[in-house]
Amino acid sequence: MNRLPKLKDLDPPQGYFDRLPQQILDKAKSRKSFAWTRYAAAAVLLIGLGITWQLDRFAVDQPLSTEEEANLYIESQLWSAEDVLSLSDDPNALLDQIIEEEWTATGELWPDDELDWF
Amino acid sequence: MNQTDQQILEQISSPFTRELGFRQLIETYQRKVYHVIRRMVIIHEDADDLTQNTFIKAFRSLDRFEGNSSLFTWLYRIATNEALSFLEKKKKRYFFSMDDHHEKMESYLDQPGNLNGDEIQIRLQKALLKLPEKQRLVFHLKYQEELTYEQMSEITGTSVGALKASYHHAVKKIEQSVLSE
Repeated sequence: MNRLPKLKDLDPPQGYFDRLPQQILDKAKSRKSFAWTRYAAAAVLLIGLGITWQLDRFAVDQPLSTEEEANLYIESQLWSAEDVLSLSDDPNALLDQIIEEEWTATGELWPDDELDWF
Repeated sequence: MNQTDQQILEQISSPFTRELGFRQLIETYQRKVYHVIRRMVIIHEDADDLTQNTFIKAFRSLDRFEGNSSLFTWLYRIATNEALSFLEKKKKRYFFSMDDHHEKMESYLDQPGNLNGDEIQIRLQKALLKLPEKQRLVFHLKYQEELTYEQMSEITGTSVGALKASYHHAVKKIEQSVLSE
């Protein structure tokens, strides 16, 4: 290795090392001062989500339609079948309509050959 | 740890003298850090970026510095990692573009004002560029910086034995390349 010379270091531009410390300190400070923006952005997002959630909670329910209200009473068994029929102008027509709908939906309850056993 | 290092760390630990401490850290080690990086990356603008990054990273992690090594060794570890990562990224980019960073570094050496036409120096630098990056680093740390193998082991995280073998091979290759032409 004695046969080879030492490497000559490549020189930087004139005055480089005079300017370098301040450049680095300025850069370090500017990176530090921008760090707060990340926290601010996260805070804004959280506050926005919180406000949206709160608005949903306090949203006023739309009033029910007559039909919806009636279904509510029936499902909660506050009204019986007789109560509902009594509200109708023609309860028999209403019953006929219901039977016809139910009959069509289910088809015959028993097949023909099963009716013969008794 | 030497007195200068102790002084620097004391200044940095106090919020009133923190900036003064950082300034002293830079002024004490800037030339060494710059040159160890520049030997690896050759081009001044790249060396400048990496030197600044090294000190900024050092500031951020100074709280974690335990004082088991000197500030010099610790800074060198950051600087050499920065240089090796930079060269690795450049190598990967080559697969996607025609930009051969290796060729760029070689032609930079030929520019007037860099080595002033010193034939042996240019040949030596170009021969070094042919080495794998880590081997080139080992060569620089041993031949140019004249560090001990123990110091190099602390900086690179490689065993003394591996470093000795690496340096021996690097020297052989450089001698063959430079002296045979």
